[in-house]
Amino acid sequence: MHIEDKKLENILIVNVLDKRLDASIAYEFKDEMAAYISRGDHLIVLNVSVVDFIDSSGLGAIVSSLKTVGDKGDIVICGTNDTVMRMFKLTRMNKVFRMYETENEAIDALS
Amino acid sequence: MNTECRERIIKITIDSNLEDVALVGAVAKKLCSSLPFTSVVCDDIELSVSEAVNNAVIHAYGNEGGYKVEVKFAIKKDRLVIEVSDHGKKMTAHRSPSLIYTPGNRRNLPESGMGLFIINQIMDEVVYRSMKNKNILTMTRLIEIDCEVE
Repeated sequence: MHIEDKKLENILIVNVLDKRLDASIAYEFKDEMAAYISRGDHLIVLNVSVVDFIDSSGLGAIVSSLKTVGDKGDIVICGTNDTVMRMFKLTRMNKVFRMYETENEAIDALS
Repeated sequence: MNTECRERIIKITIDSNLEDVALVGAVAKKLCSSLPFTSVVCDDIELSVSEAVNNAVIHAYGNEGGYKVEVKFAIKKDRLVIEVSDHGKKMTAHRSPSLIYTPGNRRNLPESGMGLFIINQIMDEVVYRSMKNKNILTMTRLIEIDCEVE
């Protein structure tokens, strides 16, 4: 599981570098996100522009992260391709998460 | 006989390892791309197959390696039939699942159990059966294929 992070003031940008966010890495991803949140990062931009496939486990890990943030902050998504967006729409999770085309738009939304 | 109308069967067996699910998905997608499906449908079927194989690995075999998950693709005249089978723990309940939640209520968002719902959204027919020691999830997607009837 490959992710990289960078901080912009109080916003954490998490870049998923795996092309597949699926069951094989979902638990590890969930744990990484939980670690970020537990150290106080509650405003998170999740950049999935490299991801070209997501399954329900990968989506579930993202949802779990949002639940962990709870009322303390938010996780917004940017860079979904058509296939990834389809998963969000099939499950109506596009109504749960704020989603943006670019990282800058996502950062602005949290600022 | 029009040989283009013959049923074609492709079978794959993988070890019960989540890292190998992508291989099955890739085969599904490639196979679908040779049929009159749009690219969206090909992606959808790849997803359905991946979800089904994930379920076999995680739920039937408790995410333990060393067991077989078998996937059979049958290209028929008017449909693609995909069977994912295992010899592990059978699914205890298979009703057409729903995914009901309130988007604004973070506490009750579903984190798991979405796989079957997704499969049912994508495939035209989904049947699960369990007999003796074998569990089979059969997923069917209708296709338009040009065959002359003799």
